Amino acid sequence: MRKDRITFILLCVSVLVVLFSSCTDDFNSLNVDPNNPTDVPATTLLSYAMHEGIDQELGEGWIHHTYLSCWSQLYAKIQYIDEDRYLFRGININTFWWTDYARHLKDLAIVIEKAKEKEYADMEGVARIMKAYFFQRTTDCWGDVPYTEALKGDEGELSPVYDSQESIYMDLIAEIKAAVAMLNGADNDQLSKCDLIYGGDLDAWRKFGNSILLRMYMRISGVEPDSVAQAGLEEVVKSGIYIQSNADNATLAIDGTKPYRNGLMETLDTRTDQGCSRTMITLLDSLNDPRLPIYAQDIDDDYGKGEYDGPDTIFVGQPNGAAGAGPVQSTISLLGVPIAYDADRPYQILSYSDVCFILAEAALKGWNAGGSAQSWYEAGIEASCEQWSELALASPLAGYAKDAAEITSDEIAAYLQEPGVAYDAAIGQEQICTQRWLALYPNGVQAFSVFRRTGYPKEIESYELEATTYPDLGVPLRLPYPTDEEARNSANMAAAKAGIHDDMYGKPVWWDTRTTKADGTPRLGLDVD
Amino acid sequence: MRILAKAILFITLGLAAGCLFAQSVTISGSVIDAETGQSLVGANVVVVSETVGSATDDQGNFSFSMVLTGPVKLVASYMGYKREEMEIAPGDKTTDLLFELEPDVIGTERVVVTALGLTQEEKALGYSQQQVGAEELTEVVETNIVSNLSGKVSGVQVIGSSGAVGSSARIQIRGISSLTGDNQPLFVVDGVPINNSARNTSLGDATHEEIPDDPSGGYVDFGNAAADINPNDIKSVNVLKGANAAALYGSRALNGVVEITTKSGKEAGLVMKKGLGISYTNHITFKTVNPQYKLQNKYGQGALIDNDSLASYGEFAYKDGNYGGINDGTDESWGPPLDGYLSAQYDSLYGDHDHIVVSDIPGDPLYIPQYDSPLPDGTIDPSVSTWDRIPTAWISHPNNVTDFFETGLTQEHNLSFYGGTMSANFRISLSHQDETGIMPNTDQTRNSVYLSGNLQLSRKLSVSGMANYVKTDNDNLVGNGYSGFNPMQQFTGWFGRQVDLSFLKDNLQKEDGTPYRWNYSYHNNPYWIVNKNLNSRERNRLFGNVSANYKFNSWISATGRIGTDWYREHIKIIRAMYTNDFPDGNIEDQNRFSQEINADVFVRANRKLTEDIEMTALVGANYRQNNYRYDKIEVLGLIIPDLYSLSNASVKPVTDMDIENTKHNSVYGRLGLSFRDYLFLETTGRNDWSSTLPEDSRSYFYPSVTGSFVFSDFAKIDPKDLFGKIRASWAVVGNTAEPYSLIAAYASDDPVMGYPVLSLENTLANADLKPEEKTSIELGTDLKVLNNRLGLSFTYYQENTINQIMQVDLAPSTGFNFKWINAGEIENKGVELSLMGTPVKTDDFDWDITLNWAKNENKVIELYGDIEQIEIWQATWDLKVVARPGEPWGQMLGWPTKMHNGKPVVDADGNYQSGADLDVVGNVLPDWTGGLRNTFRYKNVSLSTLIDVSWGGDVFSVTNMWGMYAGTIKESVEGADDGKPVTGGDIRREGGVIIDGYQEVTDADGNVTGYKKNETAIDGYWYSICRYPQLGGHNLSIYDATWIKLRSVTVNYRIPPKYVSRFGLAGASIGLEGRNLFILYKKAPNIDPETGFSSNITQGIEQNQFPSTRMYGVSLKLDL
Repeated sequence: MRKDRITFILLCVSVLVVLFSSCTDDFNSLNVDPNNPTDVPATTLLSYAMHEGIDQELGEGWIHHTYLSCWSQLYAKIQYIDEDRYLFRGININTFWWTDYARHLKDLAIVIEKAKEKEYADMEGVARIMKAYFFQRTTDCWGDVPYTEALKGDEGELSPVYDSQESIYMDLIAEIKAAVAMLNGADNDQLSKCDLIYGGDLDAWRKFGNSILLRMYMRISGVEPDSVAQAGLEEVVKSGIYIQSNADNATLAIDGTKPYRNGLMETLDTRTDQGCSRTMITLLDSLNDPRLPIYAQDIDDDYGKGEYDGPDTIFVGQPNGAAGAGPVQSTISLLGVPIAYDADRPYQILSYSDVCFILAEAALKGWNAGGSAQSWYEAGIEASCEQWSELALASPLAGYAKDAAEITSDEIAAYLQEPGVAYDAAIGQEQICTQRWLALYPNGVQAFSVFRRTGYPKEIESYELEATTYPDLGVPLRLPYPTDEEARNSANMAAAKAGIHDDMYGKPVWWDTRTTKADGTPRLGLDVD
Repeated sequence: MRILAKAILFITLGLAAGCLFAQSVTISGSVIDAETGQSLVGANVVVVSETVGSATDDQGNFSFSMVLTGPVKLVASYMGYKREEMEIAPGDKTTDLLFELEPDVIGTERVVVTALGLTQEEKALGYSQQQVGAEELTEVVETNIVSNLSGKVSGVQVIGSSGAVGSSARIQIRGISSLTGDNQPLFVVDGVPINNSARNTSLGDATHEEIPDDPSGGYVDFGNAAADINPNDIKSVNVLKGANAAALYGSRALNGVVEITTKSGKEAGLVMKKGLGISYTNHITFKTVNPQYKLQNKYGQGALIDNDSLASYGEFAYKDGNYGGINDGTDESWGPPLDGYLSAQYDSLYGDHDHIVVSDIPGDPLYIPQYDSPLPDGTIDPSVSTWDRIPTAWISHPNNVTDFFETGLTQEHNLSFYGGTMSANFRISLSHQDETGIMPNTDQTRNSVYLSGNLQLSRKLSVSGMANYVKTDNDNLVGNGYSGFNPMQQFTGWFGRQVDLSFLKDNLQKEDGTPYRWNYSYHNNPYWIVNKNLNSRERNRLFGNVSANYKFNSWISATGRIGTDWYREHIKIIRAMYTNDFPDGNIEDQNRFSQEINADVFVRANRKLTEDIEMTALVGANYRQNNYRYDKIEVLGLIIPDLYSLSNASVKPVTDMDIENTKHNSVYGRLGLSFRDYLFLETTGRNDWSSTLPEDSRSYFYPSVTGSFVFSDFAKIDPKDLFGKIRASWAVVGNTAEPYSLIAAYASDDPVMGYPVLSLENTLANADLKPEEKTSIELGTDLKVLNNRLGLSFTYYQENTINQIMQVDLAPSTGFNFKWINAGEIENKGVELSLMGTPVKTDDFDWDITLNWAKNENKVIELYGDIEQIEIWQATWDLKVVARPGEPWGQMLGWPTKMHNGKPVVDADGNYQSGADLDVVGNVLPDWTGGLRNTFRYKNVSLSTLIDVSWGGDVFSVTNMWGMYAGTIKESVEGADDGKPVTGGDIRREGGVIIDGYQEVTDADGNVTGYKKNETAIDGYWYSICRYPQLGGHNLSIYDATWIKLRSVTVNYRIPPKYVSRFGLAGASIGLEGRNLFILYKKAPNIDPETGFSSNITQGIEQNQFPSTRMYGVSLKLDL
């Protein structure tokens, strides 16, 4: 009997040992995530924010390759044309929005906070520039968005108010100014560990920051008194600190191997939903533009229908928003190899050519832009041709015609004399903005803003899409507000949303004051009182 | 075999020959419950036709003396059990006799297994539970125990496995109680919890990679872990439905418990008489496709070039399958008509193309270059880009999809040995299961070894143990969901209806390794998918426990038990080079290790306090530890084709790792009082300490009180006339949080340009989480009349879950997408009804009926602050599944189709249109579920049928949506048959359809002033295209999910012993079985509305489901 009892007790002890050897003392340490750190160097966040944020605009982000690049008619959908008819998928819009806010903008806010703590001026300055750059993009797409109370979920702010686009712009300008000043003479120890754009070159960052300012000043030139836009732009020009050659271009380096291949290439690698737009091809063709064989691939003339038989280099664009199931795809030019089929083509964030066209437009307004409209205009074309020629020649892909890729200085000079290209002050605004649109290719996010503000290229609005989802409303004025945000912050969004109908029409964004098309007829989709 | 068996018996029992002299002998032994092994107190053991006998004492033992002169017959009986007889003769052993009484199936005195594996008298229970016996579980070879419960228990909704090999089944008890949790019950084997997690591995198609955590892409369903339990080893399954029943299991029993009791050596029957028992069962089952999809066979691949003049619709000519020809890259079926082109006047349409041959003979088909049209030299090579193909007949291949499927075969062999003595018994079971699926090259092999033993070391001390080792291997499993790796995506959606797959079947690839395909722009060869893109898995699993029980005295005993469940799983997903979406090839290599350890100590006491009042009490403690580790290496490109080694990576592999460790400590107690055996009261209490909660709220307590009143006993009514009981209970269960929800962390990604990158996670951590809490009340009654021939069990329950720990959606402008919070309240109210009847009961013929029915009403009472909804399913083609306050969980939110008076309001073109704003377009939850089981037994033959019903609820069918859009399913053609010509030009498919609905009548200002009947015909193309949700609304693809299925029919024949004994067999039976034979009724076309969902929480979204299957089989059972 005693033996039984002892046996049982021994058996139970083994259970009890397990049971009570661990009381709750180790519970706190047990619940610390062993997989992911809870504190990290700011450098790692900055690299990621740069990469993710730019990838939205120029890489895998549907916002550019499926939406805004089609809406700005840089390219066209040739299969599953829905988005090109302004039929949007709610989930895509939600994704753009949360990627902006909850990913790179939040990470940048943390970088700024950490950099302030440790007094890393290089990190703080660059993070503030990037944050302003991304916020400008966000507000350009949607107008009024959360800003002052945004990104503060961890401080308990769960329903951020919507700030007016005007106040956001004013703050972004101040932010960049402060950041550029802060970088002057700063130490680049931290930044050089993480800078995917300029490798830690602070002077280059100051130029980039000021060039973003140039872009902002021009974008608000229609709504802001001269004291802000003109004075600001002239101040930058006077300082001489802005992107002044292709060597200063802001570009984001890409590994070129999986998982980081050029995002446009990654998207088009396995399915061909995008091709060149009729608007783009027609324009390049009519201007004898040497960038055509870089921007577009020629079509195989032996495709069976017989209608396009001719020389080997035939380029055909797809009308945006065509009806039907899509064209016979071999009849439409695909995006150029260096543009969209080159795994390590870096992303062109802000190029010298864009600065040139901004200054050309400024000069046209009579602002002191450090040169004449014509000189800046021609410099812009030249810069764009040189930039793309260089990229095309670096494109390693087999089968690409390098002869066509190279744009010599003679060709550029000849191009500048082409009818329609040769500067004509009477249509200076059109020429500048149209060439700016051409040079921005394939960045539809920026091109969409240029088009909305200026109405150029005029071809975009010269016809109504064959199968638009919104007949008689024209090109959308903005991106639709995301349903996620609306469901979760509806009270604050309500005011911002007032005046918008059909998700994208009725009310343009604040800086978009254009009321007519290029031909002088009323712009569609606007509700005028 | 017999000799071996006897030898084993001899060794096992260590028997020495007994010497028998006495004239007057003592006859002694014990009487136990055959199912639970529990001693039966007060059972009668008598000698037939003598006046000797005895009742068992409080240990279940009996003893009496008699003079034994010749053979006598002993009979043991006990109310609620079947009597058992035993013959003894002089010279036989007369002590340590064991009677194991089988419970009378619908008896009133049943003892059931409840929490912690303890037995309790059923009539004392104040809550609802329901038992499924071994016979019901093994009559059909359903390899997944969860699927097997379907229709058999009221209030339990089973969403069956899809028919694909190894696929998961989902079980839902009393509806959804947690807004975002998995809502799955706890699975317990012999008192120790085991893992039933379901593993879906994303296929990572390029299609959706932009969308984070998007569930709408493809996945592989690696099954639910409880499927590892071999049904042959199960003695019974008890479903404890409410929180009440589960109070002692702690928080994980929030959604009920599926308590599995395995067979032990005790079930072998009277070992002393039979010696070693050996049993062999064999099932052979065939599985065939039972297609629900109906595809059109009138038009082939192609697209409309210009839909303004529909005259030019339907062009197609193959050149390279990638838009080199005419629409040859398109994957829709809007092409030229198949099987004869009668209207000669339309020749001109094709006249421009030398590639199409139009015959002059009426009825002759078009001749068009197709992917498998021969080149001039007679060879076939779709990968060559050339017009030099000899056009072949453009004819239909109506079975091109169905012929893809094969006949699946499942073989199961189970061999078990059992035996023992009064003081020791064991059972060993070896099982081999081999299954091939209807999808080519899919399979599963499962081998398991099960061992259990009990040892009575003394009168006081007993030990027992159980171990189960299971090895599951799959060379390949089916890809599911909206994915290019699910062949159904092309078959029922994006497919050329003229495609004849036979060339692709015989020719996978060229010598250079590149594949042959029917379409080179979007789709892989379906045979390439299943033969070269494998989703394989190997899982090694061990679960079991050891326990010791000590009886201090006649009324106090203590038990110590430690159990574990662990597995290692290796999943390898390979993508061959040149595969669409993975042109460079891909390897995803995942390893998982999961372990749970449970240790329990508890003391029980059972004593009569007074003549009338009896007390049972239990106090115990539990320690639980869970460890999980996952790592993954992904190779994004291969150097050498077809070598799936991690060292064959052309770029640096990508890695991922996840570790989760948690611990829980608990103490618990139970006190039960019974008064005169008709009034019962029981209370429980449990306190948990959880490592995943903040220090302050780590400890939480939850109680329960239940009572039952057997009024028929109170009124002293003969149980033969009436047994009646009412019961009531109240319980609270707490629940804990996911690990690592308290502190924000940063997630890393692969380094960019050599720079390490990290990003703050999108979920806002919450350091102030509290345990969540579910309160449950339950009222019910159990009635039996007509000598137990008719029984009814009825339960009403209401369960409210508050303080739910969930990830609430945040406005992304906060910088976060989700936040861990405690909030919300969700309510489930419902009724469960079981009716059991035995309409006929004679010596030769029995007929039993069991009817189960349950209805659950679910309501989300509140969420969090002003938050209007929580997304349960993010979105599939813009359809979300959400929870919103005041509405049932599982609302589908989408673009509604514009309606008026129950009919569509069409636009000016005569087509459907969608409303402007997202709105509720359906709900995923069924209205009620039920099952009807009939069992007939005539002499040695039994027949059993099970009809299974799920009524109501909605299903969003992607198969129907894209099937219409792409013109593959039958309805996309039928419109032409019903419609009237639009312009008097072309007829056929684009003759169109006049939708039965209204058109708005508007005044000059565009205001709607009324409605008129629609008389505008819409052509077939636009009619079908409007399935795109933003055009025609989601409602066009949402259907009532009701289904009624003939789940199973089985026939068993027990061969009389006299025929089999000459072969040395103790018993034998053979059976015929059929499963999922017919869908008797459903409303959704082209799909089986039960399956096709991933195994996670969300139901109701069907995406290119695996086709339904039928199973037929034979079984053989031999007892040695």
